Amino acid sequence: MKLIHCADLHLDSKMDTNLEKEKAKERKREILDTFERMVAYAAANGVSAILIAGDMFDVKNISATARNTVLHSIIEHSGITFYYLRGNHDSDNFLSGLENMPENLKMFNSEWTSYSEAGGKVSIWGIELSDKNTGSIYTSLLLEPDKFNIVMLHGQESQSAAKDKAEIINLKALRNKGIDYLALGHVHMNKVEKLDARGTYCYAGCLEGRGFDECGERGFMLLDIDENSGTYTYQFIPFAKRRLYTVDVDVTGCQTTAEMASRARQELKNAGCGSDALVKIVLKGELDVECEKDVTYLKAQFGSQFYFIKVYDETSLKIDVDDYMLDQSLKGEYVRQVMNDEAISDEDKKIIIRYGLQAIAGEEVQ
Amino acid sequence: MKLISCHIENFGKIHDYSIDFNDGVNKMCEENGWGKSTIAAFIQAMFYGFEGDNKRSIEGNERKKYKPWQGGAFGGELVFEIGEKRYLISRVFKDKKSNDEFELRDASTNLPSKEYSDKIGEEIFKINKESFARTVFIAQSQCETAPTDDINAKIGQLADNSNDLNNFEAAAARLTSIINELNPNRATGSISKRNDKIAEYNMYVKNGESISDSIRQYQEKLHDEEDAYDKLKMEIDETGRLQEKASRQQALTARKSEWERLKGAADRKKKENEECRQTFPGELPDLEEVKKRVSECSDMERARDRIEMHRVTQSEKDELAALGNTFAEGTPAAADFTEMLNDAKQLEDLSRELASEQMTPSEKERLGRLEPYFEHETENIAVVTEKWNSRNTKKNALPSKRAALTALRASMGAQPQQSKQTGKTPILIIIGILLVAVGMFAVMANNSLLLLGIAFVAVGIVIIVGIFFGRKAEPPVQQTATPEYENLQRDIEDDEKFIARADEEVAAYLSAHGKSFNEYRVSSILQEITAEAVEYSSLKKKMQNSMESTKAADLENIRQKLDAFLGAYGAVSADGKFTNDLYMLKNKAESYSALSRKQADMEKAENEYQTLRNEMTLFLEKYNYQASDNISQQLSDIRDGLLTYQSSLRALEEASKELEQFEAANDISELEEIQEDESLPALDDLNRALKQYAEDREKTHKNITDYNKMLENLQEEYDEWEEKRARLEELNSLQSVEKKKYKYVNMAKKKLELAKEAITAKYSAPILQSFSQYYEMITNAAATNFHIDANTKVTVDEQGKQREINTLSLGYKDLIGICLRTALVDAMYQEETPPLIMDDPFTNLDDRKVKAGMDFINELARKYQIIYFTCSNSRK
Repeated sequence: MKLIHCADLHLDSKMDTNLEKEKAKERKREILDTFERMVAYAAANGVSAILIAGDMFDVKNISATARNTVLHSIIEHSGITFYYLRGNHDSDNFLSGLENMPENLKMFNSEWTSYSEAGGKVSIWGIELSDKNTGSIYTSLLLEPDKFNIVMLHGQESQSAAKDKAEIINLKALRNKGIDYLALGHVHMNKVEKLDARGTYCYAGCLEGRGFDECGERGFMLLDIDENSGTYTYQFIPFAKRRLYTVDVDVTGCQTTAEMASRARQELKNAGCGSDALVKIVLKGELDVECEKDVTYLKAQFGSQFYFIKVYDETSLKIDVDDYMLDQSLKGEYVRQVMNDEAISDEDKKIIIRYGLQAIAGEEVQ
Repeated sequence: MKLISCHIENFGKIHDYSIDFNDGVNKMCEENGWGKSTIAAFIQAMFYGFEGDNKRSIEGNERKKYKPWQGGAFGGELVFEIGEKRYLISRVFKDKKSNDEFELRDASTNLPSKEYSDKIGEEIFKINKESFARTVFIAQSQCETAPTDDINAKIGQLADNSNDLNNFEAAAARLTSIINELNPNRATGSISKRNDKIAEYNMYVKNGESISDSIRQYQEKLHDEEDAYDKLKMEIDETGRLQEKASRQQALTARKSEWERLKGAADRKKKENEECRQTFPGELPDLEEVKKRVSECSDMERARDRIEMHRVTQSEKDELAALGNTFAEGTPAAADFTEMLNDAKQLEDLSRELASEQMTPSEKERLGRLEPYFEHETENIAVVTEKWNSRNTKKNALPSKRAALTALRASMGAQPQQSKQTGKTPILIIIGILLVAVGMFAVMANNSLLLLGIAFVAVGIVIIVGIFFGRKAEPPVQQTATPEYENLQRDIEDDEKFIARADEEVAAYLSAHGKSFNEYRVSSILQEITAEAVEYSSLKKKMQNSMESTKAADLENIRQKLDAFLGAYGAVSADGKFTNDLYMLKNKAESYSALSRKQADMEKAENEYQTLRNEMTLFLEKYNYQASDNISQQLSDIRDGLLTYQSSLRALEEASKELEQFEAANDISELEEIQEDESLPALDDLNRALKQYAEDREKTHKNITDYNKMLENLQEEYDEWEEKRARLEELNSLQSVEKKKYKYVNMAKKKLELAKEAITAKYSAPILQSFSQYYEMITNAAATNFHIDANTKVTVDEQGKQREINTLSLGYKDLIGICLRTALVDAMYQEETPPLIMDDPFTNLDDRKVKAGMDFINELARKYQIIYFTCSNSRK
């Protein structure tokens, strides 16, 4: 049987950290659309079950659109069983007031709950972590070793128990429990590691990157289980509609914005940023205090090439005081005036010198 | 550098004017309005072109100011020498700067030169136009000066290597602009404006902090409702299970009750059926046979009714016996009775006819009295009456005929006496008639008046006759008569004759019938005679009929026949009323027949009844019944009993069948073993509870929906709040950045000013020295009380304090300005000295100072070429 393991969809996330209102709305719709696409993918590829390891929603009170879209997808695909284990972000009102839960939607609670698949040969276990049960879940998990055991959890992996932290998953305590596949959620980066000699633990990662801390490929895990032999294969399926990139550009030695743009262009090319990408350019390195640098211009230059662009200036100024000591010009006198003021910190001196020199040179003061 | 010559083609008011310049002082003394200032402006324009194109006023806009009065392009040429080379500047000014033409030629070769551009003034003097105006060009009333960036740069000899001091003012202005834009203390400053925005957002964010608490509270409420909903769901499930159980138990109990009821019903029907059977003493009679017997009972009843109906009473028996004697030989036939009755009627008719045909004595007497009048009558009454009527007609016509005759006579000449006689006659006639009438009345009314009556009659008649005859006796007047007169006269005479004859004949006829003639009663007498004639005729005829009749014999024959008929049955008609006798006999015959029939019918009915009763009795006995008097009722009861029995049998069968079907359809063993669970709540209670739970659940569901809606709204508010909070963070962050920038820009500006002051401070001493030298040259007074600061601003000690020269007199201010300008030029132009253009600078000086000023110019001419304009010979 084929399974999809996904997590951290964060549907209904506002997406307004970086994006303007209209684009944030569009991106919000795209994330919901990616969920629907994933379900359609499952239906088209003979997937029997979709494991959602928490944080399907981003907020406690989700919009009617998100709720109805998800429910409609579930009900419409009655041949797929949805195993939904709620995470720390998940909605309180997803099923609120629903008279009858869809039959193909299986939920978990604060006690170990299991469901059978493939005629009982595959067991899917799950428990929703809370501060009350976090200490007891490891001892109360009793799996049948002759079955293919999938365990769903949502929390931060740890090699040891952490006091008073509800969302910590003690991997050590889950070893040698007969787990074949530990389907985890909470960490947004895809990660697959051995749990013990038998099992593997996996964070599916988020389905769509939302911020520049979620750059790179995002998608879900596709498992193909041979329920008779108890063996399986898995692969990560990149599935996000858009990808986020953080591109560091070292502009050390550049004297003009044009030179910096040239270097950025090369780095963007190296990173493989497509036109539908969300890109963050981070300018790094040391710049001469007299160099011409226009971050706004840089942003405008790349703005039309990508879905979203932002430019961070993390450059530092380089100033050689000796260059100005014998300079009899106003500029030389100005630098000397600033440098000789002991009340100003070295960092502030650099900025003040830059401002003054920009003003003298007739450039924009920034 | 020095000017060689210039040619003004067109410039302001000057047209086609050329001038050559010498070394040293070039004085031009012309009256006011000649155009000295225009020439000075032309020289400046040759080096710098025009400025202020965008200014509207003539003063600010040089192009407008110096546009030739006659219009068209304007400009000219200027030859100058710099170093070892001479150049020719040509400028043509047009409507705007971009259309202006500039050309530079090498004056020696007359070839175009690229050594300087159209900004030749700035390139040669390293000073902008403004600075040029403030130093080299001293216009009228503009002696006062202040250093510009260019001046300062020039002073510092800095222009050649970096030109940056020139930008101080622009840089300072730029920084000032940024400071102003950011200024937290100005309403228009972005920091200040943002502060307002931040305060607004802070307020919003602070006020909105309770939204999350509200969300939490509603979430708790929602959870409570959801818990309640789940609990209710469980309660409903549990109650539903109990309801199902109770329902099942109730259904089983109901089925058992039904079974019991069916069994009871079957038993009851069986018992009823048996009881019904026991009402029959023997075998069960066949219902159809019983019904037949019941029907036959009706026949028996009808027979008995007939017996009663035809029962013969004793009197009838006696009557029958008596009649039997009368009609021992049988009763007469009806036809005989009919014949006899006809005969009896004929007998009556004949008797009546015979009686009517016989004359009564009075009739005979009457006939005898009338017979003499009518037996031999020659003329019958009708002819006489006719005759009398004719006579009356004619007589009645006479007066008119006579009048006509008289009229004819008059027309022929009639005699007067005749007319007089004629006038008296009618009166006399009337009197006569009245006397006759009264007399006759008296005669007829009373015998005592008979004589008087006769006398009256006689007198009357005499009068009438007298008149008649008297008139007759008069002799006719002889006249000549016309035929018409004659015919009328003859006609009158004929009528009179006829009347007389009729009177005679009628009188005779009346007399024959014993009547006297009275003209006035003749008509009534004739009517009487007519009635008598009719009576006579009738009586005569009756007498003839009676004499000719055979009815008496016929009458006797019939009477005999009837007597014979009646006598045969012992009846004798004593008074000849045969019809009554016959009818009496007929009645008797009919009574006899009726009684005989009645007796026969009764006997027949008795036989019939007895036969049926015997059969019934036998039938009843067959089934062990003792026949009762009322067999019909007995049989009806048996029939009803049978019907009841059959009905009970059917009811028993139905009940048994229903029971069988029920037992077949139900698990009887389950019903037999059923144990009622007393602990189960009543189904009604469970239904009520379920209803209540459902209502509660609906309410809870509504609450959940409402809370969800509230939470959605709150979430929207929260999102907005978060948006604003994020915006606030952004604003704070931006504010922090801008505050830092504000701080840094302020510091940068401050440091920049310090740097500029440091540079200019280096040159203030040489400028002060030059200034003092020139000041002493003009005023012969030491310039010890003057100071020049790092900004090249001159101050003067006055009353123990440095004061700006603005406080000095106009003349002094000009004087100080001229000295300072020259000192600045000394400092600025240490290599290439420019020509100094002075446009009457000493107008505000007194004569003594003017002289000194002129000496000053001559002294300066050693070092500078001077173009000096004045309008006064005193300042020449």
